[in-house]
Amino acid sequence: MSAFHYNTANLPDDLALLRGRVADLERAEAERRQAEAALRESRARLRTVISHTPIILFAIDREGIITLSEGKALDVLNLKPGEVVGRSVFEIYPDVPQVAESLRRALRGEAFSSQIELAGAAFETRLTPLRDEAGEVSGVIGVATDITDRLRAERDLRASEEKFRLLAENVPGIIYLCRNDARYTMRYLNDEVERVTGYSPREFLEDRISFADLFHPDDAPAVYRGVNEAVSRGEPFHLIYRIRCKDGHLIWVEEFGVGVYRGDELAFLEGYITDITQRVADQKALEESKADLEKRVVERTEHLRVVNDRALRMQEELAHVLRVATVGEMASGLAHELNQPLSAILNYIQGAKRRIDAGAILQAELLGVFDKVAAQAERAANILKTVRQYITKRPACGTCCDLNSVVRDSLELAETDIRENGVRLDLSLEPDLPESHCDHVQVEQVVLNLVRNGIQAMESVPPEERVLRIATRRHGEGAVELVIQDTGPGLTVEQSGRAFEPFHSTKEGGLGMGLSISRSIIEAHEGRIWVAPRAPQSPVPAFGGAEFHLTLPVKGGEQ
Amino acid sequence: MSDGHPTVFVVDDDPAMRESICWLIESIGLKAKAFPSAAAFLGEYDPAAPGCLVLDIRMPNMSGMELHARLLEKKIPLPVLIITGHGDVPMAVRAMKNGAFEFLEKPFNDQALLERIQQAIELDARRRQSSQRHADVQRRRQTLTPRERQVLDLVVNGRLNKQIAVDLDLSEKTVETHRSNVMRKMGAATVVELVRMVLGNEGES
Repeated sequence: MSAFHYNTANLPDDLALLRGRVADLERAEAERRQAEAALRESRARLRTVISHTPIILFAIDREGIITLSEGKALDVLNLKPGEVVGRSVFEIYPDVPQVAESLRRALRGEAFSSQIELAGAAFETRLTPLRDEAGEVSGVIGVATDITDRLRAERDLRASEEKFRLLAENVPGIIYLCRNDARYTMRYLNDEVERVTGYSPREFLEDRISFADLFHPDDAPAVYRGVNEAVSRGEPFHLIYRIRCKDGHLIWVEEFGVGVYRGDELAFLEGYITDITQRVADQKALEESKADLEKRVVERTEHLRVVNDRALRMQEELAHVLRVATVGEMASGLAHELNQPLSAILNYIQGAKRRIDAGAILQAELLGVFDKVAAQAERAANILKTVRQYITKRPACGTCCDLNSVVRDSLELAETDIRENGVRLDLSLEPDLPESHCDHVQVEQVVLNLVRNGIQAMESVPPEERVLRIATRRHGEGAVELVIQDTGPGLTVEQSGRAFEPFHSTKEGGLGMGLSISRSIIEAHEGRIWVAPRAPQSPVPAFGGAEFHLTLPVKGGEQ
Repeated sequence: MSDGHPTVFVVDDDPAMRESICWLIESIGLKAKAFPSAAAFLGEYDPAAPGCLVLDIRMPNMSGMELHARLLEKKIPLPVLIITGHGDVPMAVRAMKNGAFEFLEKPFNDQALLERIQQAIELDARRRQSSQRHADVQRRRQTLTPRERQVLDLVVNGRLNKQIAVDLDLSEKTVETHRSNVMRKMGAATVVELVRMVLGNEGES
């Protein structure tokens, strides 16, 4: 103080100065306090932040003693902030070698991050070595972030990805993601593509092969068009086309696809392709079997038509037989036709009878045979119906004929028989006979039959005695008459009475149908036919044989 | 087609006829097989199959007569029963002359048909057996030496050992040796059996 010499005159100034200094000091002190408060506040805030952030902030000295332990993530380890401070890391986690290893590594001066699992939680830990002024490592500070949730989410995501990958790899079809370029450059393909096409996913992904290379040339334009039209409208596409596999064979595939858009822009195509070759083949087989069935229906129809044609032809043949053969020959043909169903009926019945006798037939079997027998009986009836229709339906077909010309035509037809048998003809045909109302051909059959009967009847007499007398004449006002006499043995009264009965024959092997049918024809023309019996001890030996008569009404004559 | 059991082959173009004939044949437990045409039968028939043939004489394309002729040509000895309709008798007679086993006129008596069918089957079996026997004898005969064959022929002709020795300029002893070899190789116990074996074989067709 002695050094102070006060100049009182300056005192107010000094005082002012002093006050100023005090004020400065006070201000500085306030600032310091303020700063301290701010620091405290900041520290508190930091601690608050740390204590609420899912991390652990820690510091460890060279000996492994924890000097700092803060942060919300301590909750995960069931610790309070600062709780483990002063304890050795090596003590706390003796079971987790990774802790000690990481710490030693950091203490060697390396800063690094690692993942570590503690008490069921996962942490990502960043360790940084602390160095003193001399540059020696004096400790380690670390930040551990709780990544349990993140890992779980990642694991879940991976699992879900794996699941989808597995799904994609195991669906029975190709799943793809590709660009909509000319080669449909692939971005993703499942392994199924190799099973289907023979090319591996790699070959596609590295663009060594492309679906564009595999399209059947005939199908490619439709594929491009189908895809482009659909994606331009923002619609999914559905295509069926052929591709050529690695081994060269063609398969049918079906594709369902859709555009993947980013904003409005088409980024990719994704879809699903399956091999439908088998399905196509099945369908084709089905169509073929359908076609085959149709073919068979057609064939069956054709067969029925043929059968029908045959029946018609048989009818025509029968009609033809009726026209060109004598009624006797016709009857023979008829007999042959009838023989078939009748023989079959007999066989069926006898076969059934034997089985019944042996007790070896089922009722159903028997009924089946009855049906067959009935069918054959019907067949026989139909044959007869055809004949009857022919005979009765065309009684007078409108044509008129001259009995004399009928006789001449018949003799012309029998000319060979007459000549070969040395038969002499004795004709007395009345000229200018009125025309009769009859079918020339049918009456001709009857006359021819009578002529042949006469010739056959004379086989038993010497040739020089064989004379056939044929006469025509008027029979009353409304009819004309034909008489045919032979010089054969003739018919007894009994024989002549039965001559026109069906199946009655005096000839060996004769059917007994000729005269029966002749009578049907003549009666259908409203005429009559009869035979005069042999006169007992005929006085005229030349004409001791049979004498047949037939009459036919004349045109416009009495009914 | 051949399982050893005799089969009655029925060829008729009329479906009802062939079906009903089969039905009748099967009623006595025989196997029957029907064919709608001669060609169908020829196409399928295995000559090794035993049995007999029932044939309709009238058929379109190849008639029963033609089929019969074809079988004769091929040396198929299957007995043939011809079925005829009315008026086909002359044709049937011709068939009989050509070696048909029987002809039956439609409609036929079932008893007659079935009896004749059974007889035909028996004949076929006998023929097959004898042709088998014939083949056996032939085979055995092949095992004989030329000299033994000469001896066999002379034995069959009724020559005595002494005569054979002269015929062949051999000693009687040698002839005896040949003769006993022949008997052994042919499997005949007696000379009578040997002769029957050789001659019986020639006699049967």
